[in-house]
Amino acid sequence: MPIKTRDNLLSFNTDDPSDVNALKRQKHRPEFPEVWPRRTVYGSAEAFDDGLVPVEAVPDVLISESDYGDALKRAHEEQSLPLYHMYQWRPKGTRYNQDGLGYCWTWSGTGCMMTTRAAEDKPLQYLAPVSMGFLVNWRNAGNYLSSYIKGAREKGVCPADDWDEVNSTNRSSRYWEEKNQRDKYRLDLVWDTRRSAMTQHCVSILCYGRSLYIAYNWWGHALELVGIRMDGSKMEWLISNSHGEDDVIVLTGSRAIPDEAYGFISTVLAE
Amino acid sequence: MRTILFAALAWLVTSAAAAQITITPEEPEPYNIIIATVNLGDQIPEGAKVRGSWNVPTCDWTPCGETIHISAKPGKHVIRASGVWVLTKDVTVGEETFPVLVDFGQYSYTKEVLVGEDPVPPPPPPNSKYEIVVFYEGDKLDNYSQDQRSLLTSRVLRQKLENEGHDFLQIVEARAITTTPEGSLADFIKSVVGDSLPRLAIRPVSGGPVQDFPLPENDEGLMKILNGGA
Repeated sequence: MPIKTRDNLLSFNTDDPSDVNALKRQKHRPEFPEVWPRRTVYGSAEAFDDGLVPVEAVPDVLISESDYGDALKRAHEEQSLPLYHMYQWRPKGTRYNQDGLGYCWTWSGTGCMMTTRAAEDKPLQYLAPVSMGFLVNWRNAGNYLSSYIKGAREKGVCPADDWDEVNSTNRSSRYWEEKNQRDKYRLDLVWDTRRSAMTQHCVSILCYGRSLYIAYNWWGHALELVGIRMDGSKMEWLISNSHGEDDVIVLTGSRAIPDEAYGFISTVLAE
Repeated sequence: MRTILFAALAWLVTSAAAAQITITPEEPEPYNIIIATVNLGDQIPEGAKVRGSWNVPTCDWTPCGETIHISAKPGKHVIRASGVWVLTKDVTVGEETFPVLVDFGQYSYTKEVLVGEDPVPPPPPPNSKYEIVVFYEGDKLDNYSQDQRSLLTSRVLRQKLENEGHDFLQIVEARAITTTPEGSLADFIKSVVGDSLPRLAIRPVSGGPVQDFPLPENDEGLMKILNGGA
């Protein structure tokens, strides 16, 4: 069963079946995958078409494995990790909750958007995850992460009036169409990661101050990766989940490494 | 993937060495006409059709055939020429003749031009409080030094600046820089158009002109600028 860390975070060992079951049971319908495994190949034309730039296609200075500990320690000391930017829009004690809707793919993606905006020091503007429901025809359905990314880049996410509206599960297309202004809150640069180098790519992007939009196939769930910390040689993955937690959760073990991850680097300047 | 990228980079470097943008006069004076020409040399096959465009975001300029005429204020300016070429061969089928694609390619060159003397902004007066905007290139984020990345990302530094009365407004990605910016950051964006990035732009909280500087190497360099020691 999950344990509490010394700083009172819930920690799940993904190599422990009881912890894995506990995570799966958080979902309203555990058997129902809320996110579909990626359909594009890293670095392919199709991935480019979805706006995914391979992290190794930009001038590639990635953090080497031997430097993970020092780089992450410094990033925590300077509060450069997205964890600290995320606290600007989701302070400790705030509950981020998809509330039984199978929309983890937009709660996590929109969380990444708000964290990226905080990292850019843009004025605090809550965004409404459910407003991206148009991507699945407003059905209560899972989606591809790349579909969310494409939608967020091309159409944007609707602003939310207050925290209650952030957690709104209102799937009325008319309501969100009338709200409009979604084109002001669009995603811009996104870096894609390679599965065989996933840890290195995640550590590097986190140390550049940007969060990652991630998914686990074994969980059928999408989340926001906001940090990693080292406990000796053990990696603790700090995750923003959307099941009503009041802070990030910790994942450890071999299955804590995401199956897919996308670094949200920038949002458009349209205000 | 990397091999392809390196090959593409090598091609660009090679072609940049052989072809170039030339200007007349070579040491231009402010607001006098500068004529820029792109010399494609042997970079494109004989008989290829070329379609190109120019851009000099910080100057007034007029295209004139294969050259452009530029009028520039003092300072550094970047001239960009880019375009595509297409080589076709006429093939006759029956009684009709069609152009058939043989090869195609593209070019993109830049030239930095210093007009007059490079104006160096006076250092800000000491003890002023500033609004701060930092401009960076998202696709080069991983090439900045760790100390420079910390200027972009550290919340500890932001808190320190806030405690000292400064207002860290925003970090802005290069693609937001246009010659016709709108909104509250317009003056900051205008100040860095055509400049090399990353760059720091500051304006006194009490009002006044925006000054811009290359992004300092670390937080000490930043504090030095803010304290009037640039």
